[in-house]
Amino acid sequence: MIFVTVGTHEQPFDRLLKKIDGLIESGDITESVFIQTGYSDYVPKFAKSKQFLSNIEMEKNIDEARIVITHGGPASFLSVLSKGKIPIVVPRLLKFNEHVNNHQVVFAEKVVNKGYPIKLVTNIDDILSFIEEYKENDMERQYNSHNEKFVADFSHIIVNMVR
Amino acid sequence: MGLKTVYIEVFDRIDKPTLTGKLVYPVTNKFIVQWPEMKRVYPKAIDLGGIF
Repeated sequence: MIFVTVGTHEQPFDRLLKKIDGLIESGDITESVFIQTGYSDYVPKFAKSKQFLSNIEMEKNIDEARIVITHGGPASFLSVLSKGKIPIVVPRLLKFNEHVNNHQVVFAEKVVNKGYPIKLVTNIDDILSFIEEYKENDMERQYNSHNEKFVADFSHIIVNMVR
Repeated sequence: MGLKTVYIEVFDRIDKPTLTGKLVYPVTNKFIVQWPEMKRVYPKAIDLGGIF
């Protein structure tokens, strides 16, 4: 299953929805696709979709998906990384009226430069090749979270504070 | 009441402060950041690396 999420930002992200739906129509994507569409205008004809999901539903879909595609909202793609999966990230862009500025692409690029293993899509026409890459290289989805180290160091600081 | 406070700055700012961060920096007991660049913004901060 491929899970697509565009978050809760109050602007449409039709460009991503149409692209994914089109790839199902053309037969390039054959597995099932579920899209959280948010404030988009386009209603997918070939993918299953729902406007918004509860936190529990979000977690469940991320867990069950073979591939997760997200918009560039940090909370969206970081929640995928936190679950040890490598997200395909498509930032919303100002020029398509998908966001108020281009901070999604700026932050996503910084995260990539810092070594976080997200798959950043800068040209939406490349998204099929990103999806196809997963078929060949499943190991790439594994991600070593820094969370444990953070929590250990943080706990140490707190323990020393309360002494 | 003499309670101690700890603040963790957000992950999704790398080299600029948030408004909350600016407000609590002078008063919190510990100020945690998640990027080394943030030490330039908040010199007294402790960099623990990303929480993710």
